[in-house]
Amino acid sequence: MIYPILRRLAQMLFVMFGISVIVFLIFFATPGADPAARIAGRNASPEVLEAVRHSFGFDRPLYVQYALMMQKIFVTGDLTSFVNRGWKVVPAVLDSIPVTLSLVFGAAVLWVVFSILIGVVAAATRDSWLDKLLMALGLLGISMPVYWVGEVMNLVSQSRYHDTWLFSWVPPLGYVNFSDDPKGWFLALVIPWITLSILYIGIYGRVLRAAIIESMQEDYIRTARAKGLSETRILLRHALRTSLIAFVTLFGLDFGALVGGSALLTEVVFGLQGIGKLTYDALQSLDLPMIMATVMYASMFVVIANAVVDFVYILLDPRVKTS
Amino acid sequence: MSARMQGTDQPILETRALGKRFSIGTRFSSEGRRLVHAVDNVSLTVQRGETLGLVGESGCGKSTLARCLVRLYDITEGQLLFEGEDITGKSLAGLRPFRRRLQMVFQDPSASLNPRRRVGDLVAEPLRVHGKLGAKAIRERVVELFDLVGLLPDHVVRYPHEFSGGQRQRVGIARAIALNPDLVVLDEPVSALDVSVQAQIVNLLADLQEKLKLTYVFIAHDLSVVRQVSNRIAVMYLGSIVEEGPSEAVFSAPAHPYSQALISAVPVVETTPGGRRRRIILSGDVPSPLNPPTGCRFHPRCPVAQERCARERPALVEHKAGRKVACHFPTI
Amino acid sequence: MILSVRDLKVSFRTDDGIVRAIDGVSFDLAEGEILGVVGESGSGKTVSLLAVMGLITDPNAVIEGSIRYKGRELVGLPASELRLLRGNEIAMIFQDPMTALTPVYTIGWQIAEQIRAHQRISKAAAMKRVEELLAEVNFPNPHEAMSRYPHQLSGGMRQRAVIAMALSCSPALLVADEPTTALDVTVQAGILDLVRKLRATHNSAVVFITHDMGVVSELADRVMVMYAGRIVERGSRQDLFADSLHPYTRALLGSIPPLTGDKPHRLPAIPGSPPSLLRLPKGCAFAPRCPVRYEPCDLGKPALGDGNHAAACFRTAQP
Repeated sequence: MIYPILRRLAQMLFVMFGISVIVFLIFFATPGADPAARIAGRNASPEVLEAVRHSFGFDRPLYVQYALMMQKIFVTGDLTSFVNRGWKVVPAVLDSIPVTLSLVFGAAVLWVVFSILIGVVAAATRDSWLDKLLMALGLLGISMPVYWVGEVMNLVSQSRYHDTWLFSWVPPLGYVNFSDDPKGWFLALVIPWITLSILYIGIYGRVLRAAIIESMQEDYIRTARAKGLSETRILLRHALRTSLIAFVTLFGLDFGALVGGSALLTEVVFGLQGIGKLTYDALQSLDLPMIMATVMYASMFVVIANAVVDFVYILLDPRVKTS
Repeated sequence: MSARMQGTDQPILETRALGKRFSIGTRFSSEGRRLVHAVDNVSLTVQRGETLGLVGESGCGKSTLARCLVRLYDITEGQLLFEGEDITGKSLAGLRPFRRRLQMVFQDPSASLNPRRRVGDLVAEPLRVHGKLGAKAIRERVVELFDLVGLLPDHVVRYPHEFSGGQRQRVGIARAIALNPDLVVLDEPVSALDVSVQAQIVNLLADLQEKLKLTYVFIAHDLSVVRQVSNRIAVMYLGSIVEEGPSEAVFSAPAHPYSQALISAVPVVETTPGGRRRRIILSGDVPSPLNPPTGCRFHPRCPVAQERCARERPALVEHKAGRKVACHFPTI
Repeated sequence: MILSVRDLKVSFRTDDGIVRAIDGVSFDLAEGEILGVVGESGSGKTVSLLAVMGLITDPNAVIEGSIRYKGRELVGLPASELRLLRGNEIAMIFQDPMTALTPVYTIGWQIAEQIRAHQRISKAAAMKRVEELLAEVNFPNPHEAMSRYPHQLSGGMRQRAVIAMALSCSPALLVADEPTTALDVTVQAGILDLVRKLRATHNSAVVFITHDMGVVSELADRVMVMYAGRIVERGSRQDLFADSLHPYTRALLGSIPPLTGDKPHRLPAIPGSPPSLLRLPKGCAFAPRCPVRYEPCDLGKPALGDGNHAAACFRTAQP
């Protein structure tokens, strides 16, 4: 068991190395643009420009530049933003991680629980009015843009009905540290969680329903019926269990992408200083060190999520282990 | 061409120690890259006009061998000769003239026909690719082929799903014989068909062989069908041939213990009470070709195996005229 | 009689019209008897047995007639009551062992699941029973096999596991739907041997569905030949093979190439192919392919006579 894990870790490192090289090349080796000028920002003085050039090694070969960049991100951690002078990039990224993780993790719990519920109920009551209603709601959830849902939520809970008994508990926008105030953390995130999870509940509920209905056609379901099992047991222990394999793949990819910054719209709408918001701001001001760091961070999460999916796969599908 | 004109005993197809290895997994998988010997050291000759039956159970390599014979797979060891000419390593372009004369019919007629195309087009396709016929000549040829395989001329505009399994296999056969091949490799051509339809296709194949002077390599797991169509048969086990000989002789008195078990296992309709044949039931499963047994590959399941069988692998040797057996203790 | 089926009809509503899969099938099965059901695809052999098992779940299916198990009517029985019989008193073995087991559970788990669905015993006791069952179906190493997943077993071993599962509650009636079709002949021989042995030890009645005349003649006490949803001939194995009455049975037997003796230059083939169940002829369904057809054959459907050996044919004198 140890050897495959080590091999998988080595693969992850290799993939991250590849991503870092590609991102580095895109931003620092694009011909026709002086990376030093971009890092230093507009209207930089020649002295600053020279300092940048020297500190990033732009006067030296590409591989040295790459090595210096990696050193600044991973070893010394002293990469500084040149747009917001003196702002250390690495601590900024580290600070925003708990925000994004809190947001995505909570939303993931919601969407897993509710999509399984919806998928199973819809599959069990296939073609009934309940199934049709659930699927229509799912489609509605998919088609509502998350920033719109977020704004509507804010409108309702922050201003229009804030003073009614229904929404008076909603704290002002922004993030509260879990360690400072667990209850405040929870309350601040409830509405962002719901907002972010609506889309995924729709997608996952529909995907799961289709997967369950497909596996209900399999021969082993007929065997399960021939064994005299109850329909509930057949649905949960046989059909749902085998359908979860597709579900987990999808989940791993989405979770990785969200933690890696795709929750950006939700973060912006609810004023959460997460990784998505950070990347978004960095892109707006072309803050290359910040972009480099956030992209490295995002790729790390996507790769880790993929590896976790692979391991869960082994747990869910014994066929993977031997082949 | 020269071989044809000599008209001698030169076999139309010959394999010399032919082998096919597949590699499984990648260097990164837990067991690393492994080689599977799907076909191992097969030496066969096929004479013009005969039918060679290839029998064996799933995983014995008969379908892999069939695909090697028409060069659908690249051959990894040994040689393949067509009319004396070595075509083992010929490039795609170099194979073109042989492709026309070397055709294949597959097991599942519905899987091997493109469902979106009319069957007339499917049969015309090889004519367009290989032939120098005009559009009108191709149409006439397709109708002629349909007639040969027992389909009606107005069937050409239909789609594969409009046919029954038997008719689809007729389309597959028409396609295979469109270019007047010399040799047709038939891979389980009747296995997917209903019993009442199998006999029609078997008869059709026999008629075509007579009319078109075809040579067949006929692969099937149904032994009675193979016996019906073949002049000679070769029995395969775990990638190698264990017995080869005239079909009549092998069926009435198999010499290899595996052939004996295989033939005895075929359920036949017995009408006389007590006339049941003695059945040899093999213990265990066919071993994995990834990890074949030492010595004779059949020895762990062989009822007459001795100590020598585990050590020494028997070669396929001719014991009587035309009868070859790979066994240390053949009953011949 | 353990099973008694009377005038069973199963039809399916489809977009193209009504498909009559089974059209008036009646048969009886005595305790400990092996009944062979022979037919080609579309003959209704599988559908009729799925009806007996109550496993036709298609909402477009219409089931009529009577299926009595130990005198109890199964047609119209509530699903919850039928479920108590299934797997417990009536068990089934399916055609393809590759897909008949849930891929994500060990075979020990799956067999124990069935036992615990019908008996109040502890997990450990169920597992012990599983081990005995696997030993009974000749698993070389039953204890180790329990923790194997289906994909880790060969086709023959998987079918043995399925058989062990079917036997787990000592059913009085075992329905086997082409259990050896997907297997190699040497493996098939072992499975047929096992079915014979188990019939002797468990005294279960067996309905064995197959398209292979050879398999039937090796195993069955009585045989029933089906064509296009109807029984065309019924009789003891001896009668049916030595003295077949129906032209279809004869033609089918004749079209099998012999394994010994002289081989015919051409096989006596049956022309055409089985009819579409959507457009069955008005008369005898076999008439269009029949060598001895005459006028009455196109006018009405011949009835299956009474008696132990009978054929549904106008030409054949009823014995």
